[in-house]
Amino acid sequence: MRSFSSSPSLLTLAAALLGAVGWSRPAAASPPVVEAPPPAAKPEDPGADGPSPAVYGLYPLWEHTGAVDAHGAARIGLRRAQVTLWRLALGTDPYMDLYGTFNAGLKVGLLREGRLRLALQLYTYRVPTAAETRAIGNLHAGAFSNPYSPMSLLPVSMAATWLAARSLHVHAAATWLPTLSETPALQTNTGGVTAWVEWFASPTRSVRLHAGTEGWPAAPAEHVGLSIGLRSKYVALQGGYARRFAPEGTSANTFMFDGALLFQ
Amino acid sequence: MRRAVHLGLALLALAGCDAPYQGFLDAIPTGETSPDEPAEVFLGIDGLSRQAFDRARARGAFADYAAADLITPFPGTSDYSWTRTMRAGSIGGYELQYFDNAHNSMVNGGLEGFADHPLREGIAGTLPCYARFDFLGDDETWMLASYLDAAAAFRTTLDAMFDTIAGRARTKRRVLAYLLNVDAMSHLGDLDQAVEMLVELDRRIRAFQGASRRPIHFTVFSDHGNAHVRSRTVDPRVILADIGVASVDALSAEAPSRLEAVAVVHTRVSYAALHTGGRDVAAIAARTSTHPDVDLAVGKLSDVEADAGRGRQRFGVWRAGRAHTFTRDADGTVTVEAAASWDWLGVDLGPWSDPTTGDATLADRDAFEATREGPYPDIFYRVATAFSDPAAQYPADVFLSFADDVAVVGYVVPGAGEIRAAAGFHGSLTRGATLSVVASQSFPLPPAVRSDDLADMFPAMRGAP
Repeated sequence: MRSFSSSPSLLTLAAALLGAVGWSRPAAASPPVVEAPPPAAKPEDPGADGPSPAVYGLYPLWEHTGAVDAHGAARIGLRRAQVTLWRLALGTDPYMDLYGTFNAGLKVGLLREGRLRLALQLYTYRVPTAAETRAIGNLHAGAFSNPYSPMSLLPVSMAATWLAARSLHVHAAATWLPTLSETPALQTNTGGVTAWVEWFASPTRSVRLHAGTEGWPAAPAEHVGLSIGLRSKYVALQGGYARRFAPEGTSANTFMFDGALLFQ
Repeated sequence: MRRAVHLGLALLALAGCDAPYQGFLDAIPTGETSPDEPAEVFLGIDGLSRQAFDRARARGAFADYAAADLITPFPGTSDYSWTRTMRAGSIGGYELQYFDNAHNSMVNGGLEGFADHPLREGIAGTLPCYARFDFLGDDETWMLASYLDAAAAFRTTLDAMFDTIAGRARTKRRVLAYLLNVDAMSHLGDLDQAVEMLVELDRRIRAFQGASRRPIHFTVFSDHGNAHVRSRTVDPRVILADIGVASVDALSAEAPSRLEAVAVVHTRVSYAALHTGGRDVAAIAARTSTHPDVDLAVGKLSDVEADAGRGRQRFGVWRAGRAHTFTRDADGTVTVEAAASWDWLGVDLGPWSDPTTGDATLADRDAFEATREGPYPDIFYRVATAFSDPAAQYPADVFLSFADDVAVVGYVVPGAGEIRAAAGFHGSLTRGATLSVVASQSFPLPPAVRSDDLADMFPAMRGAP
């Protein structure tokens, strides 16, 4: 019974935004772009001559990718600070750390073959008691509350990235999320699957569609969303909006944004 | 001024940071605590008048709710009333702008005080009464949106409110939510539009309850009523000048040869607070009550000497220049002096009158019951506690209470032109401005309740788990 009739207008808005930042401008007017690949790259490997795939998702907790950065690369951002050594990325979400939800995790690149990337991710979050009250104001009250005890999240995710074309990347993830707490209602074992598609208008600009269903079976929810990404050699910015549909038939906004400095 | 604007913008930007954080928390699935037990939702509807509620009921809304008259505090302004009702500490005075008696100066005056509304009501440094609500508003622009188009903002606010209630009711037995839109509509639109909003609210509540996996019961309450009478605006400073009282920004250090008072003019409401430093209360109240714009003037007179430890205080209510006085003991006992002169109250005080003195002595509950259906409900309690309740750190010396068709002009934003709000107000002692409603799907209720008693009836309102 649920619908997302506003999707077309969101797409229109995203297109307008991309246009406003120069989507259709000539290449000479564009900011610095990622270096073009060497001509010897295999034509069947779009990752070799196209934009590099995203190494983490934007929708919180459930959205991931199968790609990892190259060995020695690092990034410091709002939603992810990480360093990659060989096929292992170690990181944290600094934004959640600032709010007292300390977290850390690792991601292992399992496969990088042609168009396909696979990765396994393990994370842990410690959510403090009454985390919902740790806010600057009182105008983004969400659905979550843990008034009586802290809880720990231990999400395990398997993610895949498929480089469908030079300008089209598809990401999908399956996550198992056990939670630990003294409060019985906060002790759950849930799962979810998400997917998002990133279309590059240019090597530096992309628009993404997000969708997923998560929280099964305790509190099944769904989300759909739209975001845009801007990236240069040294900076990656992304922001967007998702609508989350709760099991009680209600729905609410999820605002997503991120900015990171890249060292690669 | 520029610093205040920059500070406001910085706080706005910081508060926006909460959105991704709450988005992360919302992505965490939770089970349900005692899924078969009902969750109780206490929904504070700002400016819910008894009149609007009854009309909504006549259209079939809130049919399964027990309902009681809610006698709200005087003066009936939101920040003060919510603070007092929920026992959430104190604010400086009766609004964000107040007169600091200790420093003889106005605090949060002008544009700074005006800008404080959206900030202190959710964006940053939230007043404790509003911080107590699980749901207050749906983003930084919620207040602006509510006043620009109360009806349009209502749907999105309800979407966010029900989502918060649904999620938090999984892990909390009691959830507190707040709705501004009905108050905004009552100021900007008319009674019919406020009723329409309540009917829609009831429909959404029923739809939400129907879809919810666990039973969820609602109790609605409010901070003040609304007279729903189109009003003309007056300036208390002009009123003071008209009757020969100097309107000053700060009180003279020494007893002046003239009468003087500081008037707090902040929001558009149907009362005004005057500060006199405790001087000339009776004279100023008597004079102001003769002004055609003023319905009643009330003031606290000196404490009664030799009261045998009863904590007796004496108050005056002036009407058309004539003083009507009463005392109130710490246990709530009211002695109405010269009871026969209070005939304008429309209350028969005969059963409590002493024929030899002419005074009437009523226990607190008797005074409540005797006056609650009159034109000035619970007037003795409401007048007395306006000067004594700790919710106001710096109480006024005199209040002007206006008729339902008169409102204080309030702060005028430079360059913004005339504020459109003129449809109905609250704040005064009149029945329309005072009378609200508490209605519940869960709890039996007496015919009438004081706002001050709600936190005892429903401990969640005072922050109890």
